[in-house]
Amino acid sequence: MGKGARLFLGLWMALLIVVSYRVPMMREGFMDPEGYRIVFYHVPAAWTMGLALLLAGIFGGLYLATRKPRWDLHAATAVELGFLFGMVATVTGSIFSRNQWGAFWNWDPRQTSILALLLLYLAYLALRASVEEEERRARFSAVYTLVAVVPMLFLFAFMPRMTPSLHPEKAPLITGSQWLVLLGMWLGYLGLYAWLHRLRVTAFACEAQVLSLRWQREE
Amino acid sequence: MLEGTNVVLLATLVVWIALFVYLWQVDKRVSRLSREVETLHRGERKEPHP
Repeated sequence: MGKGARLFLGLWMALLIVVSYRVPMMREGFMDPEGYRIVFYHVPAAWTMGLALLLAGIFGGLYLATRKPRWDLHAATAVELGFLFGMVATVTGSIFSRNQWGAFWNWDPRQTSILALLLLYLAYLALRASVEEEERRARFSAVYTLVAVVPMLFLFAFMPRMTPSLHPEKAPLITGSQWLVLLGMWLGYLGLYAWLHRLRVTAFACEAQVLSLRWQREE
Repeated sequence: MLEGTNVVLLATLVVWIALFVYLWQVDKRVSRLSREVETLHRGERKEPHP
């Protein structure tokens, strides 16, 4: 990501942060109407998590098809970042839950499904850490990310809608200009994701080159 | 606008600016490191270590 794009992202997010606290919110039906503004941070984080984990599956598939190590790095990066954005969604969701429902954690279907999702990808990170041989690790990881897309989509998109939930699903309690703020914020999150993704892949590539140099010296 | 909302707005802006500056610094370091490792890697391939 070039300098100009990074500067634009910084200003865009600053602008959206200000707008997110200025846009009028509905007041009926909320224990804490002002606290509902957290939706502008929570929802884009959850969407970015879903997209990152879907990308991880695609990168895993590309690795299996081509056996090029760079796809393995992209997949691992996408999972790490998906996990990070998932944590942001969970924490902001818990704050929302505390303000509107009275407790940080209610075992609501949406809360339970995101916890299961995070555990699913925590297992992926544990799998990567446990296999030393590079090619095997990449192959196992790729199969995992590809197969995990099915439970991920189920937990992310279907399961919470199949059971009664406190979580706003079918009729989101946002309208008109609030949608614009939400989508603008998501664009900002996507920019942030792209920046972090590039940084992490570059760091992974550096690690690989340093390891390769070390082996050459040992030989 | 509630007083508390303005405080949260300011706090969010401060967090974003801090995160942005931190990421900018990390980006600079990672880019420099990447260039240095690439140079070393090329040198090593040309002149194998004895």
